[in-house]
Amino acid sequence: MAEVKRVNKRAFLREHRKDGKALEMVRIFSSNYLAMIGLVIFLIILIAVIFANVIADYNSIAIATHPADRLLPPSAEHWFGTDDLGRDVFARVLHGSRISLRISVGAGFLGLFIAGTIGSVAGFYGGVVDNILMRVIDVLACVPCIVLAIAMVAAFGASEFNLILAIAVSTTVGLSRTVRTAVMSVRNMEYVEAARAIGQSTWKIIPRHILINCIAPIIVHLTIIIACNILTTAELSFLGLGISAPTPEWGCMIAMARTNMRSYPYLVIAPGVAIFLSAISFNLIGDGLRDALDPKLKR
Amino acid sequence: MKNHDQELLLNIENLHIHFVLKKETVKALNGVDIKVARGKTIGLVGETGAGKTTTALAIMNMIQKPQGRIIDGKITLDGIDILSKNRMEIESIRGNLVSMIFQDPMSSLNPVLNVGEQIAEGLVLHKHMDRKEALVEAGELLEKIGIPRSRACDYPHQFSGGMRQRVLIAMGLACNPKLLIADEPTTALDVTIQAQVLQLMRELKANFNTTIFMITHDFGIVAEMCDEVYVMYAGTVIERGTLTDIFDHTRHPYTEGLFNSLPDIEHRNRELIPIHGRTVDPTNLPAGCPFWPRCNYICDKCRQDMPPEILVSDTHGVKCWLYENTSENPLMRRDYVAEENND
Amino acid sequence: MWKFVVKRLLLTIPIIIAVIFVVFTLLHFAPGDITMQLLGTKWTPEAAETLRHELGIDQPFMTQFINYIKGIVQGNFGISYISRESVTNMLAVSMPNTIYILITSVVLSIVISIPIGILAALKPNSVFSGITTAFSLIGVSAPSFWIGLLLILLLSLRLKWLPASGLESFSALIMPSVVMSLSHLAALSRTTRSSMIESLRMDYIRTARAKGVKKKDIVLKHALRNALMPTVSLVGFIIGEMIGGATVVETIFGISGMGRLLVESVNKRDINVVLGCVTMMAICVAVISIVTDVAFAYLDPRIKAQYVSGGKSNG
Repeated sequence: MAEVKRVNKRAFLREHRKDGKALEMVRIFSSNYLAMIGLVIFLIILIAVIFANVIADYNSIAIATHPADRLLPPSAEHWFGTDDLGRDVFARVLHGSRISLRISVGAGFLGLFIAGTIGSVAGFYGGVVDNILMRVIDVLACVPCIVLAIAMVAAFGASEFNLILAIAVSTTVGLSRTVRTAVMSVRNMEYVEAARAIGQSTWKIIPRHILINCIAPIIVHLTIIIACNILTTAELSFLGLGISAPTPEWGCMIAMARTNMRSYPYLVIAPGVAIFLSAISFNLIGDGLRDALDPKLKR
Repeated sequence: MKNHDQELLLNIENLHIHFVLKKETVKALNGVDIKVARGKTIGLVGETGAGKTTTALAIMNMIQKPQGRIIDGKITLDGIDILSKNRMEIESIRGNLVSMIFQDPMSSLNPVLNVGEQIAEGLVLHKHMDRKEALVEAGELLEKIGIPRSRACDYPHQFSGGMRQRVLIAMGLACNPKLLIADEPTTALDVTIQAQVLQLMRELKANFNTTIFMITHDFGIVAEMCDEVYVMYAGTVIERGTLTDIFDHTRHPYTEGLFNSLPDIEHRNRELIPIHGRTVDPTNLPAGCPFWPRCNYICDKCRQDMPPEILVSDTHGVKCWLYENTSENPLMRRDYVAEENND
Repeated sequence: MWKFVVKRLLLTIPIIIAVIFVVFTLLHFAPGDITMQLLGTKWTPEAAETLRHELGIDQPFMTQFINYIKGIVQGNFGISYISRESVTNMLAVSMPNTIYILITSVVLSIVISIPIGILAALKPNSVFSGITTAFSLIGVSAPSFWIGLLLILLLSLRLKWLPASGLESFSALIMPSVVMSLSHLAALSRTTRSSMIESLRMDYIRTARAKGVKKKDIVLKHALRNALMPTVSLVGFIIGEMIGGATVVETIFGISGMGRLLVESVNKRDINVVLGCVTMMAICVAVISIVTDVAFAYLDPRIKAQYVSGGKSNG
């Protein structure tokens, strides 16, 4: 009898506490129609990313030039028209999603890793360590995000990996401060004290007890930072400091199309809409998650 | 009768206020009747959530709209029908005819304005002084409440809690209002400071001849300051009377419960008897008398109908079915019992 | 107060030096040989050596760095490796243009978003909340260079209302300022709105209402000044981000400011100019953060008290 009761209790807790909470989050998230729009856009982009080569082959369509077909207006064959080298703009925008997401998501996670390390170490240890790390962050904070990224690109040269690194580092300033505050607020809670008291090592405490409790604000931040990274990637490429031609990067495409902008505005509009939609999808999802994961953070 | 009306400064009749929220309706006040004669000090006693502050805010016509709705009732202050006034008119009454001192002196002063300016603000508005005159007057008010004039240019963060409460009192009295509402003015203060603030209020009352409407849950303060007491429960006045009526001839089971849960130095071995159960949920009031789920004297009628006010003496009214047919007092105040046992 | 400002300025100097150190190191150890780029086909080991000596880059790293800092203290940012022009001169020519659009952009964003934020706080379900949401959807997600190009396309090329480039007239300032402000309007009005809502809920607002203060004065005198703190600190941050945004905006609108200078010199790998631009930008950001702190002290006597005498408080 007692055994049955215990199992039941456990099952009860599992059902009603954890899943209940998750269900509640899903419910809040799905009742937010803006967040759902964001999710739908995101899924469309995801399909584009996965099936880009199936829809339009990279080598034969997206970067191969066809001088005969240059600057064609949008038609059934070329949905977004063709550019000044006769490449199909739709195919290029499609493949651009791969590059853009690769860089911005990559930079998002790398930045999160760097900032997470700096922030949690500073927040957990406090004192001298905190002081030193935060002064370093203060120094970086003196340089506007994009200028920091530009300086790094200037130093290392523009490659995809360098771009990811540059963007990641440029986002660390704000992110590591956020992580630090979150960690500091959790650090002094009883269960962390308890973990320390029974002699758990710091490197177990930080990820297991602290970061897990900061996960909600961090996920929200990550989505919003990815949205921001999409814009930064495009911006840097537009300035000629990121991905360069003939790779179909959106910002780079806009830069190329600029000279012909007056007569062929669709060349500027199509990649711009792509940037806008992908950034807005992450922003909407981020806002929705914020409301769902932590109602306290609600604006 | 006419004479009586003139003596009456404040008359609250059958006041019903509900707060309509998204999912529920909070029935904050359900028929409050309070009469305050000029020059008296009235105590309004009750647990948190009984509707004391709502009553006070209604007198100021400061119920937050659109959630707060005045369903029914009338408030007459010095012959003025408060609830029918528009915003402009009410702004010229607030702080002038009636003013209010709030509970938490730490947060009730604006941190970015110096105290002189905050006191002077009301003077500029209501006494039509220019800024300079008002600041001089504010300095004098500060002197009166025992703070040097020179500190008028200091900011709230430079004062202690007790001093801030004094500043708030000065602010309340600045325009010499006829009615001063004090919403738990000493709850947030240390005991020694409490005594000082109460002493100050008593002195000021003597000097300014202000009528004071004191909201508190502390019977000690009531005993010290008040002439008449109103006991509130679940948005209605369940017992009212003079100080002796309430303290020595307690009639309502709830009031009895309040007294029974107070420690008493003279009968230290007396057991404290808390009122069982929790205070009512104002979104879901029981039918009949709101106190019946916690009452030790319930009868069938209690569960069905709200008792009307029954006068047990000229000054003493109680809303309880116990007194429908008799003026006998069936209550057994524990301290009386204890006294008998000890003797 | 002045003592505090001077103290803050002195504290800023090591931070600026650290910024220069970081960027200097980054660029110094960057791969690639500047002499190859400059000499091109005429490159020989001897010519490279001469050039290195001439540019002062044959010295050890720390010496170079110290010399650079010494130069900056005297107002000398070195010379451009490519045009051999003084970087100080290049900055002096371009900085006023950047500051010019910065000022109009900051004024524009404040004038638009603070009133909207206040109104959205006062009337929660009105059109103003909608505007705030629209700002955050469009302003935050649309790339500014793209919006800029679309504006040029529409207003300059098609309608011919506004000049597409340059800074010759006031009308030329409109589009750059709009593009520069757009992405910050959302954050600014949202912050103003939420801090205003918070401030309107405070007890002292109730006290003021009980005093009979008029609604207009409650909002403008009692609530706004308390609500402005987060907004001011955000404005400080936004100005910094706008300095960064100048790179894009100046490039699109053909304004010869500091941002465009930076982009062009990175593209040309003109290291000294890059370094000069980044240093100058960092100095600007540092100065702005001091201005923000002073504004804080002006707004909140509690903060002022901390600065002036280390926190005087009477019991």
